[in-house]
Amino acid sequence: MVPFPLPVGRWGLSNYPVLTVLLNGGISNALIVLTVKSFIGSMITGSFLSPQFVMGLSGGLCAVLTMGSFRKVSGRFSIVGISVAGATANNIVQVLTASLFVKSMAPAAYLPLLLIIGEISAIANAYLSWKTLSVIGGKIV
Amino acid sequence: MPMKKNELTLFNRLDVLFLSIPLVVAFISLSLPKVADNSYVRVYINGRLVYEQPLEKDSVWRIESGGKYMSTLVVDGEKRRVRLVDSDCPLKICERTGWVGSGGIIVCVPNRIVVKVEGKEKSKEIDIVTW
Repeated sequence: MVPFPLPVGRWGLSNYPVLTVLLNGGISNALIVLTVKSFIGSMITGSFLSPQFVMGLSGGLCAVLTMGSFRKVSGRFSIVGISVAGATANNIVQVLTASLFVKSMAPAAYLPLLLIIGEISAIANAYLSWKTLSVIGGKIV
Repeated sequence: MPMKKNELTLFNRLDVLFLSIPLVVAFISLSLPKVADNSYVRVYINGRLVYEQPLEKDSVWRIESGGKYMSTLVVDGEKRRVRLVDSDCPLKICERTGWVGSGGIIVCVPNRIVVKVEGKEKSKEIDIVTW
């Protein structure tokens, strides 16, 4: 495969376990997975407490809370809908956090591309979560 | 998996509306006309203007703060575009943003750098470097 670096960040496919746990184990378990993923990941890459870490964690927390809220009104939203809502919340919060770091609203210029890429990732994550839960026979609670 | 009454589906019709909202917002903002007379390149660190030059002038400027090298601004006067290269930040998102022209913005969050191609001259506000 040809590497395909994004001009605005990374794909965010590692959020799929968080979505899977959210669907299967609820908000509190998803928050645990997200936090552990964030801390361990940043300590391994040496980015602990860096802007990258703060943006990732704040965006992730808002994504989980958003997805959890959409999950609560299930019957209306499908997994793709929940995942897209989470990705959108994540991108908006990351841009706002970045704005606080650089003391300018300039990061908003990245938002259109982030939203488009976020949708692609969100659909992929939704499929992976759905497939995982089907294969392991996990109940979507 | 047998479908139960309360079970989530992978996709439903409401998603089409839902998917379209961020996409519509994104495409509208991408298609907004850019102002043509943006002819100054400005570099801000921590929200403070530290460098300004006309877009028409070829140049390479080392961005430093407190003696620490951070990144390099390259201005291509002929093609009226700018980019950041050789940044010392971890993810290089500023470098991968590539060339931007009139109205363009490049952000390097770890270094608190914002590069803008905007408006008219206001070099009186610069506190550190002038060209």
